[in-house]
Amino acid sequence: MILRPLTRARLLAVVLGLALFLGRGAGTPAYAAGEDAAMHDAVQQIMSEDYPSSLGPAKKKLQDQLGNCLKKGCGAAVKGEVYIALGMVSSQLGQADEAKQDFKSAAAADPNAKLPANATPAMKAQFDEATGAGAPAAGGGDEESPAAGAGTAAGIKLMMEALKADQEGRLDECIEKDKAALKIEEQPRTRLHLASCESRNGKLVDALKDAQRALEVGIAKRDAGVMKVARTRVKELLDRIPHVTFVPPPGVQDLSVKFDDRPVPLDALTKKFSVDPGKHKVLAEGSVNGFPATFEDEYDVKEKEFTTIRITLKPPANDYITPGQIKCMLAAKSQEDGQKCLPQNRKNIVIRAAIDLSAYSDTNSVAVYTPGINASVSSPTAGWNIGGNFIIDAVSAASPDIVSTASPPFKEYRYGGGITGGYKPGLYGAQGLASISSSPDYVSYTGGLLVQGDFNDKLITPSLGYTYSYDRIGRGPNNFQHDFNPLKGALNTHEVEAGVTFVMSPTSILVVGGTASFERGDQSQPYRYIPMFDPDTVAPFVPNGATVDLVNRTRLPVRPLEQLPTERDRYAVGARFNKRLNNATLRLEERFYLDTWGIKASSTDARYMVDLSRHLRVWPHVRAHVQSGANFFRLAYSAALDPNGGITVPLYRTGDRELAPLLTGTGGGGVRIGLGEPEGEIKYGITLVGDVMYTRYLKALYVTTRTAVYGSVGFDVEF
Amino acid sequence: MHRSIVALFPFAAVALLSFASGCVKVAPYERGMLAHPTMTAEEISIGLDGHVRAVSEGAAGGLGGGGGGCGCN
Repeated sequence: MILRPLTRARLLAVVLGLALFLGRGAGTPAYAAGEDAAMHDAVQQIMSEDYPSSLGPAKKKLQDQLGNCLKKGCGAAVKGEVYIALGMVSSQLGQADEAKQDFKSAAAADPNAKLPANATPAMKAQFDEATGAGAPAAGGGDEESPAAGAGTAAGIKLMMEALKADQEGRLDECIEKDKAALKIEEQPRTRLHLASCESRNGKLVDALKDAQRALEVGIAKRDAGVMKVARTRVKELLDRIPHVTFVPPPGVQDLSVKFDDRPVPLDALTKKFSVDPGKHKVLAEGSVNGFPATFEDEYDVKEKEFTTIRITLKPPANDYITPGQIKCMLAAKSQEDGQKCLPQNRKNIVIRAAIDLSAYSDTNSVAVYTPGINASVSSPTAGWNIGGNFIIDAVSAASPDIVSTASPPFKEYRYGGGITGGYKPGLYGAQGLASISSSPDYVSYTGGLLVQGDFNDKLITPSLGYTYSYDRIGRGPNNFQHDFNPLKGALNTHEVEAGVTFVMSPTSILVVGGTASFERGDQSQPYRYIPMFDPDTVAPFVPNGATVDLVNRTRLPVRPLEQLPTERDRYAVGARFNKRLNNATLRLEERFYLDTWGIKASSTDARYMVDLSRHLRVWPHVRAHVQSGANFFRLAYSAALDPNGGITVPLYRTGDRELAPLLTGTGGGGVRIGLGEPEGEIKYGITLVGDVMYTRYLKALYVTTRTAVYGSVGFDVEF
Repeated sequence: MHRSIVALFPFAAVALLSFASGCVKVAPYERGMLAHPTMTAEEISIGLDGHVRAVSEGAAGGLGGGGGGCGCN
């Protein structure tokens, strides 16, 4: 079939012609009674309601009518009418041969059969070819401009493709083509066809809008045929379309509701919404008693149904508490009752093991590699736990402090290990620890005990602890065998700590604490030599960060070992605030510190840990530390020469830059990858962290800054 | 005398905060978020994090003890 450009006027004429055609026999006596009259009415109904919007169903109905006609022997006129109608439908479907055959059959049945006056040129051509008549081609003075004709032709082509898709049951394509045709030219019959495809595709709301739009256009154009079909279609859709309404939860100020991912205005929640039949998702969020809660459900809505959706906000199910547990906890009267709701979190025995590897490197030529392992066994039901850890520090250093004393770079290993155990059968418990650290020139033994209790329904958890450390500092490598100078290098440390954890809200806790540490003994480093300078001509002029070469050229020959005060009392108070925000946790820490050596410090630390999924957590980390220097710390110490040749050096002297005034900024982050199911019997995961630390020394020899990079990768398993 | 007063300062601060926060009430069923691993009251650290702080800062303690000697010379 060859598509010819068809003007809008002609297309309208076709439709109008059909209407005239269908009504032409209304006054004919032959149709006034009997089966012919009934068949005529049926054909008229098909051509007014199904044609042209539903050509497939129209053709089937006409074929049924023709079958009845042939079977029962209907009159020639009505038989011709059925064939003409069939030919028109076939022509509109692009089935030219079938259309010509129908027209030929119409002429054979009724020599007076003819097309409506304003049939399409294609129909007329097909009719003439089939019947041998020489009907003139349509034309005349209603031709539009070539450009408009081309646009209309494109629209008609799309419409024909939509009809074909409809005929073949491809309703999505039918909708797509009709919409494309309507973009080119608004045609009420095309829109009616679009509504028909949408309706059969379950998109009743869109179908209703398009049918209403077609009706509006039909009324504007006074097109009786369109108006009649559109009104019927609108009424039918209004009867079929289902509706929903919402019942919001009382007292939720920050409620938000989404229906199929589209926000629903809160002031319209209780109104009636038209929806398509089928499955729909409803998601609502809000705060209940300051606790984030959600509602999520799916509804299968049938045609003509009215569904009421009652929104009941519940705490969100997460990886750690199931909905059933939440329900149980809602009914709990106390924290103890609430804990009974969590049986799976209270296995008889929980075993946890982890390994990690850490590395450190800085611009002072210090590198450390630290593999570590730790494990614990605990009984949540009985309240006891034991655990242990072991690490090795492999240290290599060639810092300016070493270089300045003409010592070679060194490598050494430190071994550290500890055990811990505790018992807390109820509200009160205790935790003990013991550890040892050993390197060739430094050995440390530590033991401690911490007691804690739960008060005010576990809203307040205080703890009080005491730790004692005994350190021996000497020259290697036999320190572990207690080969120490009995008068030097022994350090006793007594530390008392107190802390309280407060549950501040359903999403936040505050931990406050303080420590008081009392160090007694000589902790001076036996390797650290302190350069001395002339008090008048050199010391006042030694610059910050003076090089090794400058120091060695300007210092006095005397170079005593470091000597620190043998008493140091250290006090610190700190607070940690944790806030849970939907899928993230903000952790803020602050510590203030002072000691009797005159150091005052502030340390601020923050992490923002975001759960990107059930298996992936990431966090940035920042830390800032600032401190003043010890009151005996000097950039350049002075030695005084007396007339007898003796030398007097300062009583206390140090080259430890960590006792100097300094500023440190740290930035980095971490990622935690959960490899198993969070609620599974076996949980395991990988944790990676890394930080860059920049330190600026405000008063120190050899270096003024240090940049360090360190990080760790760890694997842990719990079962 | 001065030292004694300073030594009591951390504990006085903790006690003061304890009384100040004693009136907060959070029902058991509202504590689901507090069970999240990242809400632990303890410090979250892995590997060298704490060790690096101990040797690079002249301060220690605060929340939990500074621990024993580490041989960090």
